[in-house]
Amino acid sequence: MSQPRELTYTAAALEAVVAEMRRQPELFTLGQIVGPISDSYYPGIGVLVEEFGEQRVRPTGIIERFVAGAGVGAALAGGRCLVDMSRSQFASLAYDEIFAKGGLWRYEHGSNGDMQLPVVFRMTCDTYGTHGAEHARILTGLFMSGIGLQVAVPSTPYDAKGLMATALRSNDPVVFMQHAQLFRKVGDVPEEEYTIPFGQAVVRRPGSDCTIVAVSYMVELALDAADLLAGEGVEVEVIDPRTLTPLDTGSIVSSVSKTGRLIVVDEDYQRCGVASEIGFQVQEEIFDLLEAPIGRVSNPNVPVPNAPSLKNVVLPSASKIVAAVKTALDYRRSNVA
Amino acid sequence: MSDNTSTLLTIHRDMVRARKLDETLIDMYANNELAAMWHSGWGEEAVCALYSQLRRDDYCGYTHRGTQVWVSKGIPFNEILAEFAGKAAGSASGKGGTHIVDIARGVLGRSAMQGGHFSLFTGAAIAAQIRQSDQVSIVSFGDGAATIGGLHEALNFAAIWKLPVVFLCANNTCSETERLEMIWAQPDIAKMAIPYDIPFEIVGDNDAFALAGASHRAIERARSGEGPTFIELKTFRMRAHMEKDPWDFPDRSMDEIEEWRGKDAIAMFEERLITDGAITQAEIEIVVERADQEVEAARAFALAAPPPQPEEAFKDIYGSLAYEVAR
Repeated sequence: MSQPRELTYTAAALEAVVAEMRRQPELFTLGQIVGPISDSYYPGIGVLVEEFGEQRVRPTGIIERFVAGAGVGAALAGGRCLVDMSRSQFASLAYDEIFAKGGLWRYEHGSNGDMQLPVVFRMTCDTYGTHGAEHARILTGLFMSGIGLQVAVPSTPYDAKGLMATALRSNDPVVFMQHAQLFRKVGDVPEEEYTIPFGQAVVRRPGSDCTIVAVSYMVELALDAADLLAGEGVEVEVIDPRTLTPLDTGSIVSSVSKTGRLIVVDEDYQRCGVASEIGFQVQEEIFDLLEAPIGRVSNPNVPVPNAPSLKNVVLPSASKIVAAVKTALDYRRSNVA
Repeated sequence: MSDNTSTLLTIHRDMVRARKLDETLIDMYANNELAAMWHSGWGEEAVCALYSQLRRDDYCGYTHRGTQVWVSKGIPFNEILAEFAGKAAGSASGKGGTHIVDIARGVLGRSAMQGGHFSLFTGAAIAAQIRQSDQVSIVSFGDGAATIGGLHEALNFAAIWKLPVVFLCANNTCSETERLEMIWAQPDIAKMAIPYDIPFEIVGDNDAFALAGASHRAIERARSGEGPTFIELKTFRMRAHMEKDPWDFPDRSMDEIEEWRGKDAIAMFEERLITDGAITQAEIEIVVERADQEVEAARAFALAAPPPQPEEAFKDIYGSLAYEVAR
């Protein structure tokens, strides 16, 4: 067992990339943020081309459709590919390549031969630090809607490394969403290799009064909210699903069965968003056990404005989570017999 | 028989088989025996001159008029027609219809979106280049798909990285709804290769003989690491865009169709083979008869084959995740 040591979120994920590129000679990376001059966007990424050379590290500039499609094609042809989409909003340019070629190709071509699709679409997501409504699209809901895709949303350095390792060993497409607000976050990361199975949520803080499911950076806000609520004697349970597909519905349902209340925190729009999907699944399973309507703290279907004062109105915050939890706790059925 | 003659006879056989398969699909569609649409490539069989020279492990990205790729790559007709008929024995388990696939033969599937395969099969060439396998990847398309920007992207990076790709444009002058002059600034699509310093060849009307030579050079260039080549074949769409459309959809004049009937790829190729003493009329008849038998047997197989079981609907969404886990 190695000594405990701290790494940033990006360094942790990069450590998994380096380890997997050493382990898998057919694994290569292409896209915008893969070359040495991308260091300012992704600290340390320059080590890849130094160690693995130009055949396996291919900077392409801004050409989203091509890199996403080439990654899928290489995967179909026995390669393995880590595609850098730069940011989630740019990945929307490659909708067909990610959702149809990545997500549907296997199904569309049936059980023919040994079709494998080992491709990871890595993208940075964030609506807090981006400017203007087009850039400020996180698209977690869109990617979660992608049939045939797996979606990883690490919230800690430890998870960034373990989920990236799992992603790069998977034979199905993975959308790996790394949150820009977490890039400098530091945490304990073992030096040895490890993987985190997809579809296993983790309880970030135990509690009995209300369950909060928080996605990616929202985990930080939820933990801040939990501290504030604890000061008022309210203990919330914070669950981090870690992957949106597959979703660990079981862990969420079992927590809500205990607390009777659920708030889902997600940065995306409410409409067709992650919070809506998780909330709906939970009420389908345990409607009778709910003490209050499921609450959503997410973007109320507003294009994200630029001015900080307006952004605060729209985006989730710890205080909004606190308010949502209180609403759930204060709820009284009006028609109880 | 020289290697060269052997190759030409293979091309001829595949052209005949592609046409028979196409005619059968036309007939099956008319008889309501297909569970999918058919976009006929009748008359464009010259492209077999490229595909028939490929190795089994070379990759082929193809279009909706794909018979020439399937026959040249040796995909069993049973699997093709069963797939079109929506049967479990189809190459895609009955779930693809027009999406004929044969991973082991390098036919990695078909993009429904026109031009969606430009990046995919350029990517396949990256995988081949990294493992130094000397495999070649074919990106074939028509004049309509060639208007899509993704082709520029694929050409550019194929050239930058000297990828083992052969771009083949079968310019049949008819996209689904527009003629060439409405959607192309000039008629020679292969000139797209110029800004990327990619060598190109333009092959005249349905000339499978010339295409065989151009293809041989392009494949050798790709295999030896010299990079991509762009080949354009001038051809013509003899049928409607799809069989559902009226045959005389007013996008082509009868005069044009008659003119191109006189430039039939197979007839011209046979004439040349006979002149060169490579084949006799009697031998041609045997090739045709065998193709007939092959396709008729496959049609009977497809019609008799059972449909997929209901549980098939929930398979193959992921390779490693059960539907219940990932739904």
